[in-house]
Amino acid sequence: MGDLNLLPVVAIAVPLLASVLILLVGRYENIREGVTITAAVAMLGAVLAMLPSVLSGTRITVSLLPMVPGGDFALRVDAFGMVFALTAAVLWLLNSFYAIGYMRAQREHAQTRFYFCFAVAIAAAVGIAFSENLLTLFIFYEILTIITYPLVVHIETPEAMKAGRKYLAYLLIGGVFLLAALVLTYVLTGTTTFVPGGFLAGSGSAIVLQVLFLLFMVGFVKAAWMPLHGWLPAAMIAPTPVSAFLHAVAVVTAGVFGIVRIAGWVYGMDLMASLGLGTLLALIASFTIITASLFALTEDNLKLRLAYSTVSQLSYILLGVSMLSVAGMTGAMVHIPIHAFLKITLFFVAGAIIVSTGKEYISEMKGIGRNMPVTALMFAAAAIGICGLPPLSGIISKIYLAVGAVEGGMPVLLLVLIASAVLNAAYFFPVIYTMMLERPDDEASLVTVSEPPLIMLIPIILTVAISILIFFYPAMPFMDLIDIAIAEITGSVIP
Amino acid sequence: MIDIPPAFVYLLGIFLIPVLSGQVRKVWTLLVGVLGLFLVASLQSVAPALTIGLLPGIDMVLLTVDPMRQVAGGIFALSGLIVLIYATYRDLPTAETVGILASIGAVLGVVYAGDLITVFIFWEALALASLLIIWSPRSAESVAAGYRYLLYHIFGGSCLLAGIVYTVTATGSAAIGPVGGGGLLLMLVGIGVNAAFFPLHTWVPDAYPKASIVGSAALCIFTTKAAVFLLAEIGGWGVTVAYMGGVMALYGGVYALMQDDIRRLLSYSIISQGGYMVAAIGAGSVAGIDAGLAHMVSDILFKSLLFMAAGAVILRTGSHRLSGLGGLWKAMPVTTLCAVIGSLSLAGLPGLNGAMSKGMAIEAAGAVPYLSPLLLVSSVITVLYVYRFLYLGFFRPAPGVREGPPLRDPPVPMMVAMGVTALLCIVLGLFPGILTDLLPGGTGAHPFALAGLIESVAIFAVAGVLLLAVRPLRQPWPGATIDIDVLYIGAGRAVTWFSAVPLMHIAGAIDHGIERTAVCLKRVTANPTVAIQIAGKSATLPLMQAFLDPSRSQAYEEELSYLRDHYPDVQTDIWGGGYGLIFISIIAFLYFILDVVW
Repeated sequence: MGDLNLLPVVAIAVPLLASVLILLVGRYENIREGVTITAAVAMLGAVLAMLPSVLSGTRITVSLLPMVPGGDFALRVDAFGMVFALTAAVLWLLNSFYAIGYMRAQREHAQTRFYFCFAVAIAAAVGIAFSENLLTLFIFYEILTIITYPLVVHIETPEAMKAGRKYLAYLLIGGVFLLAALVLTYVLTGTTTFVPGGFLAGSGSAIVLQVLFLLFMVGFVKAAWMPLHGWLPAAMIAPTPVSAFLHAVAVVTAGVFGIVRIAGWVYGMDLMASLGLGTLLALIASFTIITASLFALTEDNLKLRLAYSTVSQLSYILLGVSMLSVAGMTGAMVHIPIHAFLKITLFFVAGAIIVSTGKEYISEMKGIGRNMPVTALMFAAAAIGICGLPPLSGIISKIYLAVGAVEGGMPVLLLVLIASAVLNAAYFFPVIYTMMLERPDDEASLVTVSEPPLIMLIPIILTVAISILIFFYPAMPFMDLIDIAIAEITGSVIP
Repeated sequence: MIDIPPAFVYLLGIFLIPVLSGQVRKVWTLLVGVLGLFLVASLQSVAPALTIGLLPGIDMVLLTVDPMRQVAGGIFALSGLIVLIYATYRDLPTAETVGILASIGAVLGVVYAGDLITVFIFWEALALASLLIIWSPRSAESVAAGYRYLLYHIFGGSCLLAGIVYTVTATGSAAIGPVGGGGLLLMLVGIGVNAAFFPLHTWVPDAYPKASIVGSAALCIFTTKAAVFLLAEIGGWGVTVAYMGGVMALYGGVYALMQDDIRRLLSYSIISQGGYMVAAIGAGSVAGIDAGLAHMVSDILFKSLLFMAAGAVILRTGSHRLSGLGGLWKAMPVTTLCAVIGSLSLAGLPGLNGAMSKGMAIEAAGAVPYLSPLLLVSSVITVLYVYRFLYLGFFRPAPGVREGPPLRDPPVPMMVAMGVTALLCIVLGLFPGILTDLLPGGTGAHPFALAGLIESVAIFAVAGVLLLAVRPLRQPWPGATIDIDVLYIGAGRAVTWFSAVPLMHIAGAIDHGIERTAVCLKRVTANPTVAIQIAGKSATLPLMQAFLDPSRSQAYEEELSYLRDHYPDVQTDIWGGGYGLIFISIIAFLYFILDVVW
């Protein structure tokens, strides 16, 4: 058991160590990439090693540093955290291969800084997943904000610096609100430790708890809910591996992860229902889902279209939480990995297209599917998945969310889901058509186009394969983990 | 006895398509089709098999077999094979072949599913497969039509999911059976999109004519009939559904009459005939369900036959408008014969399968007031447009001189496919028992009974009189292309315009506002006390100018300008401390207020 307690620390320490190593060996590119890959494998190994015990219901707790009475810098590995951590670990490994291919193909500058920041960022993300209390979560959260800044402004153009300022402004101000919420929680209850089913009940008047929730929501601005989403499209200026990472693994998922944690482990579903927070969250989420899709409809830059799609999809998770029902929560939690694998595929393809053709605008991508068939097919598969069509995993969260809406007594949310499904198809399928079936304007310009290098192509295929696998075998391991998490927060027997 | 859902044969068979080509690919598709048909035929009634646990208490049942499913599965697999034979006349694009095989697989998945969730998953797969078929020609109009098709069917699929979810949470099980409560409307909308209820029908005449020749023949078999089958399976509908069937029959018939494009005419005919099925099923009786199923089988046969014949005509003549066709009976006798058999079956001539099942449907609809007369009127209209189709398309002297290669019958695969289907129409028409013995309720058909014969004769007589009396009916006219989809297209354009123009402006304004606030904050925080002084002085400047004499207000103004010009380097004296006192008082006040509130 002693060994087991070390694993969460190992999972976070390995990438941190790797980041230092990367700085040291930065000049030797192949060794540096080797460090990244090794660290990714090691971290994945550490996370997987903890999986069996988490699946059996154990929670691994490690207290690292006492800080304030009632709030240590501590880690706890539970089922829901494992969902995020597993997604992050697997995708960091695939993204590392992809990033190596991308950075070298584009001959990007400052690669050492890039890999350094990446390693620290993944450590922070996994730290968020394994946080035992709000304080630890906050610390890792802010680390994540700061360390992703150099990644966002990587290309160092004036435009990138401006975008970086916007990025920092939104996220750091959000961090201030999160700190305020954290402090208020501590003042109200004397503790910040996550408790399944919540610990805030009865600790303050309704108004205070509602305001506190709003503070948390603004604090988790990383969830990109409207109207505080502006940092995400701005951050698209980053190199594509960063966008893929930001959008699938680290930053945005950390945001929604935080909100789910608050709902299930700080407030608890009953308290949220009695405070009317479900309705508030449902309103915010519905507004975001629809409006972001409308933005995506007419956006010609592929990465920006995908950014707005991400904003919309993240609010699916918030919508699931707002239903305050078992199926809704399940849908929200399962959408985290499902969306992650599908969205990272889409961004991977966008990056592959940039590498192979230099093109960023959808209207310029006519017919590239003929020269890049596998890549385009993977895009089509992932887009179909996001639209919630079989045989990819998106349909699973769609079903759960629909059931959750009825279960939670909010059938009007079904209309949001219906409208959103139509809008998703409306902005994704034209891209599929343009890439795969449309005839190019100028045949000659496509002669040099071919599939991206294998080191980029294989991760793309793998993420799609995993998405299909999740469709056929959702239980392994995500649904099993989520069942345990739901049982935790609803206080029912673990199945 | 094999326990494999037939859908998997087709869905797995797809994987070899991209790697094969030419004749090998055609052989493979036929092999898959034959295998699938054998599998369907060999299934025997089994209790639900192949279950997968989804939600607590909700199981997905991939395979369950009963007489109703056997009838549907049989006809889908059989016509699927016939279309695959038809398709071998040329090398189809990969997307189209994949689409056709996937459609057959998906529809069989819907048929043999034992629970609503599985139905939904295969339903969505069917929409995707049909989209592939529609997009294959890659023409500008097929792109647009496919896009509209997709949006329609995603909308319908999501409504269906919503309805299913309602039922599942209300009853605690996903078993297929009558629904009620909140989910009913949503489910009807969802099924109605596929079944082409009015006003959710416009995708049929929009998309089907724009697919390729093979594509149309394939499309007409699956989507609409899958919906009819699901309606029959679920059952327990009220008279509203029955009347919807009547509306569909009449609307489809009238619009079919108004068409010039032959495939558009046939598309509206799909809606019209679908109306008979929906009306019979909506009538609610066992005989009604049987009638709906029987007419589904008949319609699949003669409609696909007609689409195949239309495809042959388009292939050889290059023309798809009745106004440009004519005189084909001499040059393309086989095609004409097949078209005649299909048309007369559609029209309800006793001796062909259409009459048999149409009679059953009209009889079952008799239980609902005013429904049978609606259907009979639609039958008369059907004869009218059938006449136009045959006369204007095949039998009248060709208008003008036709250019291009001399006309002849289509390639052998087409003729084989059409011939087999025509034969089936005749056989089932002369020996209705072959089909009715398989029907779940055991209802019989009496096309040759006196009542049935009189009905048929009456319909043809009335139609004949109308044709003789109303001359324009015998002449070509420009087709009516306006249907209520103008409203939907308008709405779609409005949404797109909204996101492109006003939404962008609002977002830009908000963004700009936030940026200006940020810039303003940045400026203020450079020297806050002076900034507040400037703000205060600017606010009171008008008052000063009003109440003080000019020289003193002038000095005030100069002081203000000095502060502004030298901002943020201006130092200020402790006068600024007054503002600090004000701040502290405000905060203390708030603290006490909140303390009371807390």
